[in-house]
Amino acid sequence: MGTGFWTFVYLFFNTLVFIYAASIAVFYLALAFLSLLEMRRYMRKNYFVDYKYILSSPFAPGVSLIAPAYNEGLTIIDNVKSLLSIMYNNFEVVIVNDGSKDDTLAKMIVAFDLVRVEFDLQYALNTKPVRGIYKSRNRAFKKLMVVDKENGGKADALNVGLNISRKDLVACIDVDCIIEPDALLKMVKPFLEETTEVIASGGVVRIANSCIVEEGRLIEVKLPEQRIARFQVLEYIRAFLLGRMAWSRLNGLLLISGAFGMFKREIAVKAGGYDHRTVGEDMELVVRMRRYMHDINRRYKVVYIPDPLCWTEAPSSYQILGRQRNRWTRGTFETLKLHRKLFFNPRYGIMGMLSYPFWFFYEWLAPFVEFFGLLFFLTLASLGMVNWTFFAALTFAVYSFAIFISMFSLLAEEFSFFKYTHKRDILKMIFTAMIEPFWFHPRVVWWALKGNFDLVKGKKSWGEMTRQGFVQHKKKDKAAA
Amino acid sequence: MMPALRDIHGGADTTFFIVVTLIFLTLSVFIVLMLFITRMVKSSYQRRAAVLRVRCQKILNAIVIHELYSTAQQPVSAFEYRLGELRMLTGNAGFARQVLIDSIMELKKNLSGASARALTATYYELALQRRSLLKLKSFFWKRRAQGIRELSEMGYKESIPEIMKFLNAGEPILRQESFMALVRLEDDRPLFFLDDYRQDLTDWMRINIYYYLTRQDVRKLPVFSRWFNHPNTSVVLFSISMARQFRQTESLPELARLLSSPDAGVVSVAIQTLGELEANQYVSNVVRLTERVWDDEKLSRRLARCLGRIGDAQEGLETVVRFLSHPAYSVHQEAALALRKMGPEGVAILAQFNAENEGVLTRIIRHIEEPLLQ
Repeated sequence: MGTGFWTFVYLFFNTLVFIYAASIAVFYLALAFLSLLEMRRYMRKNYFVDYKYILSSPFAPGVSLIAPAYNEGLTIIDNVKSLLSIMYNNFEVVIVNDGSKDDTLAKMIVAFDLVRVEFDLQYALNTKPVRGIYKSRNRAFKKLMVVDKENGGKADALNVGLNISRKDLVACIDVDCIIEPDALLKMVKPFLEETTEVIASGGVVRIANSCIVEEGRLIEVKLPEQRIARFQVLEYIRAFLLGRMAWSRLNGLLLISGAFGMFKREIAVKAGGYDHRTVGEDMELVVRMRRYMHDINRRYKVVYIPDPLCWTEAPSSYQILGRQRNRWTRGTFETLKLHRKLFFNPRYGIMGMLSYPFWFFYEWLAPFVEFFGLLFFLTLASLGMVNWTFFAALTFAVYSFAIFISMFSLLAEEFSFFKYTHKRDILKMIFTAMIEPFWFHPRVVWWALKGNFDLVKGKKSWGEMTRQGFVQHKKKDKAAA
Repeated sequence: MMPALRDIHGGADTTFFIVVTLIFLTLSVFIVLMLFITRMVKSSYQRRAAVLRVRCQKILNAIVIHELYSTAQQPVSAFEYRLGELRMLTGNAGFARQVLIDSIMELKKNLSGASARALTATYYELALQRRSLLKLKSFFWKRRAQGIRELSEMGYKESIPEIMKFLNAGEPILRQESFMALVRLEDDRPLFFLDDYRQDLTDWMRINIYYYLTRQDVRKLPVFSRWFNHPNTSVVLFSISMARQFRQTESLPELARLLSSPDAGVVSVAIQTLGELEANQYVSNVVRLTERVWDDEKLSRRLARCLGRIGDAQEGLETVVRFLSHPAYSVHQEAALALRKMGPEGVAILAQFNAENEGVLTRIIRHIEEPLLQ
């Protein structure tokens, strides 16, 4: 094999990677542009909205808030009280105790004066057995229903909630998230205003680390003090404000965050509910509901609203964050594998021709391309085959593009919800965006690769996710006072 | 071999990436500048608006509580004096006048009676309606919608012909705003324009219209059955639901006729309304639908529920019992509930059915009898 062969291999590989990189850049630019248009439309449209009309209307659809709880004894009472105080008229809160080993259930029974009721539960979706259903004797908690079941995982617990719910819409949430008081009003609106049937809606999830929280209520929004959390703030702004808004406009959204999403119960149940075989059950349900609608030839929409409706505590150590990203990678691949029939399938419209291939090539495959690209570069470098001037130019081009996209997302945030109001916040975020490509992104790539490796090994677990908890923050504040 | 590979990327490739870098870096710097400028402008705007709002509100509060003012030196009415203060405060500055309009609207939302009338008078005395009317001629739909909202909030009836022009506007929000404005402004004959309405009337619009209608004199509301035969199905569904909410029993004969509509949605809402308006005289019409709706779970459930409200031992009972054997669980649960609502006779029949069918309904009966689940 002579020089000609190696030159061919080198050029072939280079061209492939270049096409890949150029296409991903074009896609991101197009998505950013579409997001901006969609957000502008949303802001203008809702300028005149008075949500209290929904609050007092007999025509507001019923909503079941389903929150699975596993070993949440420390914070469960505050969390449930926070959910019960949400502004909405026609709603119920269904807490599914997924076989907790701690005192989650016992605490709720005492705090809310719960008694077991004769509920005729129909297993429309197959789940682990339900041990008991509880309602409160106190009229103040009449919207609360607690279900005690054998442990079966988050998807199984959510399916029990779907079985029990009798409302038209279900909002599936993580019990430890902080939901904005008007979140349901805003989430319900797309179901009311669209002329095409809306089957699901999602809202932006924001990071609550360092925010001031009292009794399950967000009192003051602050930029996280820890750098690791700030990286995630930037990531979330980019993903939610630039990515999902654009997919919503294209009606190609495949993922509604498991932390807070609203679905049409009837469609969710008919599509088969949450799949407990995957750790990415949130994405899988949206894809399956969409497939179901395509299969029965019914026009539909999955919408996203840019309002920050849900606040969550982001992992504050690289170890825990690694486990989370590992799980996300496995969940993505499992969903893509389960629905491989969609791949460039014109029968499924935008979802088959655009959304699915995008997720496959640019979400799942990207870490491999980056990693093997790096290996290829190191090999060439060790053999003295690198044109360093060209390398420097290419590296700066990629870096400047990454910075541009991050800055664009910060601008989108500034024009829309303007949540981080302190003057220093903007500087901190710009600095975060500048160091992210070196400091944070390589780790994300590594965790994704590890996730794929674990997938091959057959790992199915969620991985332990310890949190500091908002209550501790409150206690810390009080102690300081 | 090595030097050959190293030299593959020539000057042109490198230049291309340098240009790309420069473009994105320049754009990034531009965005950073925009971020800072926007923040400064926004903060300054908010500060100015906050100061003006506080000053406006102080004067408006005095107007609302009819604070008296009279001195020998200034023999003017308190209202005139306050208007003078507002004129001085806002002058001809568009920004200040807009803050004033917003303050008036915000305050008026939570007021009624003499206080609300005082605010409306302030709006007209300062000729702020001219500014709102001017907005209707704007190029931007958002500004037009804002003008419509202001004029309707202040009850400026002279603007009706102008607002009507937007009823079939391309932008749905503008269309919706003009629709709502006409509901509010045409209080003598609200909803007259429904006669020719061809667009989709969404649930969101229904919620908004209902809100405004509840604030009007119920005696002036139209009889909604006049739109029961409207060619636009969304208008028909809207009218039925309004007839239900305002308990217009005079619509019942027309409503009963809708049971034969080919549209399942219309039939469903008609059944629900007959039940909620307790139209016992039409129980036989509802019973006759049984065969037609049997295969539709939702309709069967609604029919069972309706019969629970309007049926009795003579009519309806038999049909409800039939629904106990419906293949869908939700239907036989609804039927069991309906029998329970029909009184002692219904309860007895339910118990008898359960006994004859090896206790197949025992769990349902326990469920519907559980007081905490009601």
